[in-house]
Amino acid sequence: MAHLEIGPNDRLHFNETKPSRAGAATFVFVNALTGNANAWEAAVAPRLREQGYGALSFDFRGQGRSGFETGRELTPQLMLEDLKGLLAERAPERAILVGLSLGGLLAARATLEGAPAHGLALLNTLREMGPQLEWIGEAMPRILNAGGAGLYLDALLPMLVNPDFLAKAPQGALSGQYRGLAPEEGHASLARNAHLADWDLPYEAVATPTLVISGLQDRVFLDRDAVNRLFKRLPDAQAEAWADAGHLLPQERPERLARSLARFAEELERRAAAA
Amino acid sequence: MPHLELGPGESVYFEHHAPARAGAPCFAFVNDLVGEMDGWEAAVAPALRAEGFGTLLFNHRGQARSEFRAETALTPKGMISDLRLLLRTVLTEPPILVGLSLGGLCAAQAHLGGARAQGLALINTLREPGPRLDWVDQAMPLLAMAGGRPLLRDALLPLLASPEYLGALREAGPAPDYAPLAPEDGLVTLLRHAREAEWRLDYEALRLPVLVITGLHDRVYLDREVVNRLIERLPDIRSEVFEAAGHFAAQERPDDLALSLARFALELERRAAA
Repeated sequence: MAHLEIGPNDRLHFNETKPSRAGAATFVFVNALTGNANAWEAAVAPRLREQGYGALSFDFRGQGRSGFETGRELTPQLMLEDLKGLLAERAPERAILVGLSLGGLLAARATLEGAPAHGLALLNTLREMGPQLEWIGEAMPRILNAGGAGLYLDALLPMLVNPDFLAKAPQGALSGQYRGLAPEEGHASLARNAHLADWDLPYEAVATPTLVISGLQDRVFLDRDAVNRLFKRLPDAQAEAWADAGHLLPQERPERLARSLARFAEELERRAAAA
Repeated sequence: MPHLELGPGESVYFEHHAPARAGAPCFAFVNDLVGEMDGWEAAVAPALRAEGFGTLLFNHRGQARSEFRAETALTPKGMISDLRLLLRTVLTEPPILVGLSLGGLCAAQAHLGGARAQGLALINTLREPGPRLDWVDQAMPLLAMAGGRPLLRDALLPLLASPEYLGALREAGPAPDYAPLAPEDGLVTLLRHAREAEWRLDYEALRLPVLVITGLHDRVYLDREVVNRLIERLPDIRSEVFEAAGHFAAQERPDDLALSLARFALELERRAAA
């Protein structure tokens, strides 16, 4: 794993593989708020590399092995700067930005702010804020403070993922052994500042070809009416709705996700060739 | 205060109001695990009494004002047994049983076990066991011990209630601080035994009139395909969908719920008169 130095105590860890096939895209994976690069590297990124695509995965500051200055507030704006900085530094060839949840929002914002992208894949990203999602956003730091990610997942995982995935419960789940996060820890800061994200994206301005994937078993973030409304505002978009998946697509259905992303990339390659 | 005495240190607190109108039925409300009788008494029960109906409200052992001993396992079976005894002791005429969530299951099981009833209203009750609900049942006592009712509310209410209700709660004030509960607390004990509930109900055997009410904003328990499948198995069924409510119909849409229950009761009154 390489890293990009941002400051004396701030750095981004990333995994990077250039395309091994001429003309092939590079997938840039953009984590969700609580994600990390391992989620992509477990299966999705390797499958795509096998087909000649490039892959760039990384941890935002506060996630995984990416460090940050003590006391720094890890806001969505800072995450966006991380993403744009990494793209500028690594300049991935024919980048397709693939974002999960908040990561999709950041990917879209990056393209709107000039980051070069060949395509955009928004995984369980489209949403309209309202009392339900605002409540969830406000509760998350309190739950993490009381019992960390273990408590958060015990409370919400069954409504986030498909039953098959849930049946293979992660190790340590439902043990009742919780460790609350200190306010200065990365995920605590990310969660505390997540409410600052501006979900009111100017969808009409997203000119980049976009693939939208929704996991229909996501009972927390999915509102199908909202997704349909927002999807219609995207100028150049295609949608997939997966009945057998929830929110955590890279972990729940990695093979299917790799296939959909490869198909999307092939289509973009054909378009580029035709042009 | 009225208690149904069950033994030393064991009792069920109840409040009974007989019907004020001749021939009007009495509603017997059966709480879910987390809610208590105050949830019905806030609006629904008074509205029904104003129409001349009777009401019987009670708290399960482990809930407020009802007593239990530390060594007592507060199981769904025990809840059903308490309900049957309460109905037999307090009421002279068969009531309309109204149950929310697990309370609906207890009401149905009590009737199948011999409790007399004119009708049965199941509010957000119909479900089939599976990995999601099994996980929720396992997680609930852990959440209660980690942060009590405020944590349960913080984590799960946005997935259980309508946006309108959530918005009103948020405007009413800040979220309460977490207050962990001891393992021997009544709520924790009730939640710990929730997995023992037998959800594979003999629906075809429920031959009494049944009203099913389903709140569409319930993202935890509702599976519409399951509800529709189970409704098909009920012989004498009327079904209502509350589009503006989630799991807690009595709190979220009390006027709508009182109206639906009164309509159901009047239908049964007319049937009885005919």
